[in-house]
Amino acid sequence: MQTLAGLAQAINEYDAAAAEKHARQAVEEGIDPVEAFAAMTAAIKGIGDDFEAGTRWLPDLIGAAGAMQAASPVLEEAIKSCGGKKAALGTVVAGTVQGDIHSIGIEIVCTLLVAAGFDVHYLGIDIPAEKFVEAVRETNADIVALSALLTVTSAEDKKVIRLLTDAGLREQVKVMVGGGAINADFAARIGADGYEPAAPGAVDLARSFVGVA
Amino acid sequence: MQHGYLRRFAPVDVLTERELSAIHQGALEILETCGANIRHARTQALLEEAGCLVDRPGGLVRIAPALAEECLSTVPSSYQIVARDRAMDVRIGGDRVHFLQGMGMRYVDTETWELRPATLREHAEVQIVGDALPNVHVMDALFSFTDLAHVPGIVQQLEGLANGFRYSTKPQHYGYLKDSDRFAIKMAQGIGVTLDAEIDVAPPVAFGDEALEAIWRFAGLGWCVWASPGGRAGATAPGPLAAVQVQSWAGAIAFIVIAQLIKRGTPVALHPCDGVVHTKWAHGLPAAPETWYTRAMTNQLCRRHGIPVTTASGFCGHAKMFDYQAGMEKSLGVLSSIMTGSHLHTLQGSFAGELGYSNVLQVLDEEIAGNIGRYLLGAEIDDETLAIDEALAVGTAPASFMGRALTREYWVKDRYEPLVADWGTHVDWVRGGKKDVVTRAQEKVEAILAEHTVAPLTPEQKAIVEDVLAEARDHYRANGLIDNEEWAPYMAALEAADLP
Repeated sequence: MQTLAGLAQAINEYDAAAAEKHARQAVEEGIDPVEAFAAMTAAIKGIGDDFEAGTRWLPDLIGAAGAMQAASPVLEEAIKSCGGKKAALGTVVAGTVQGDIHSIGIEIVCTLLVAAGFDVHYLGIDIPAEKFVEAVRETNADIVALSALLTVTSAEDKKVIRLLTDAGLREQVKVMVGGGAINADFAARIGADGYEPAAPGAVDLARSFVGVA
Repeated sequence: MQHGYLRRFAPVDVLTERELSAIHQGALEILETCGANIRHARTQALLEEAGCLVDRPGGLVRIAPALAEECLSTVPSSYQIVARDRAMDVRIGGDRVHFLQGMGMRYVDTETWELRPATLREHAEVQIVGDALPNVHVMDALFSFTDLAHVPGIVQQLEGLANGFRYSTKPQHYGYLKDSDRFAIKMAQGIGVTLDAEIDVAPPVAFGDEALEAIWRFAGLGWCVWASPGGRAGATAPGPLAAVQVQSWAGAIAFIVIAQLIKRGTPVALHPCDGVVHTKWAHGLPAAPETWYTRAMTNQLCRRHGIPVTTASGFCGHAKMFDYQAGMEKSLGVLSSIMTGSHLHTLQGSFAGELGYSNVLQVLDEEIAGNIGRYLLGAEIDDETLAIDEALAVGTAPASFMGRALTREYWVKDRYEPLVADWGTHVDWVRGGKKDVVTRAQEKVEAILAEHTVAPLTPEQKAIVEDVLAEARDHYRANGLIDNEEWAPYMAALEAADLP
């Protein structure tokens, strides 16, 4: 239990090296890796509560998520070797649309989604619509998160939705859009399932898509 | 020529020479060691030819300090924008201060305070009011986020620019959206004007392919290109404000190197959009004191290197209505920047963190520009203005200067009269129906729209505008950037536009 407390503390202190160390220790001590994941999730949830209360900020959430990401592969490997599978809230494919290289917003969203328990496939910047569709097919994604800063690149959001429909994948995947050029009207106009102006809200939106309050 | 305002006093320094040098050296080190993210093959080749180390697969270009310094030295310290009425030309730089109309993404509905796409007519009316306001020296008929109702994204800037040409004789400003600047340039050349082009440096120190294509096109013509670095503390730049400067300056230098290698002597203005972000919502804070101070540092760096600054300080704040917060944010932002040496200031009309614009706000902001302009003119100091003889002639209390000729003369020539601010008595305000400043600005907008006439385009110029628009529509329709779903409502919107 001391090891799990250490793991939680590492998350709370944004210490990636310590988080990884405690994760390895947990595996060596034979602690159930799913339980170790739960300890990390509880720690990050506490930081999320502080964020909501205005006592911690995005850099704290991202720092904690970074520590969690450092520990995760160790625990995932342990789960796999037991023949298990890490439970994820859902699978998300994310990126900035073609023509747009402004990535900071979507990267924050991805980090927070990972921290919230989603399996995130971040494709990067300047991604053609076809690649989003390909990734949805390959990962069997539940959600596509598209980011566009400019009005003209936001037209790419529409293209992704159209290609998803053409590929027969639209029914299986929720599309969320964000970025400077986007608002709720625009999201509705292009047939997206949801829009959020800020990263923390995007996580709530994603949770609602997979039926988690 | 619109001369704007001459700042009669030296700009305020916020950094020492050693601090400026430290920022500059930091930027050079980043460019030489880490490099700029440039994936555009033609630009990579240009930079390689000039001696830069180019990692093609990695998209990184390392720029040596000597090349950076050399290119910095060939940027003109001022540049001219040619308007369709040459009396409206402006020269940006030196101790001259000008104002640029500020647009935003959507129109502010002053009934509901919601933001919605503007109709083409509303957009045209914003141009007419801007044309009428004496302190709007340069027009911004477009904005990279502009959302005109039923107009497809790819042609929004072009439709905006066309409205700018139709309804104003003042100089125009453009950006780039994919390759739409090709059509903007064609339109401008046909009319006989130049355009400023605002092109972003994606922080930290990265350039999109389309941005680089636009730099090639504008710099090739020798027209001014604005380097717009937007590093934000803790997000796209390290946390400290000095580090934001280092990152932005590195981006600006890389931009300058590219522009100067394309064509020596190309005017480059720095258009800083950097500053701080709020770490709850992760959005930029254009009207935070930390951002204003960042801009002050930029202004001083640019003065050190003789680079004109076209700043976004005062462009927009965080207010959601035209209230005390809105006025405070815009006034402090623009004034603090002007006092530290910036040249062209995006101001009139923009709102809500770039998300909105309004004709009413355009008039309210004109008042800010007028007040600042008068402040910049300062006071003449000579024998007449010191008026010692006048003081001796009138003597001490209960003497009065009210009826004197010198008073009459200077009341007229030395005073700023407000456009919509109420400087009258409280009693008169009550008797006049207790109108607030937003109501008075609304009335001013209506009066301008009723009275102001804009010199029309010549038939030839009009034909060029329409021909280029038609060509652009066909081009983007053919390559799928305007789809069938968008086309019909777009055509219907043009038909129903009821332009003035």
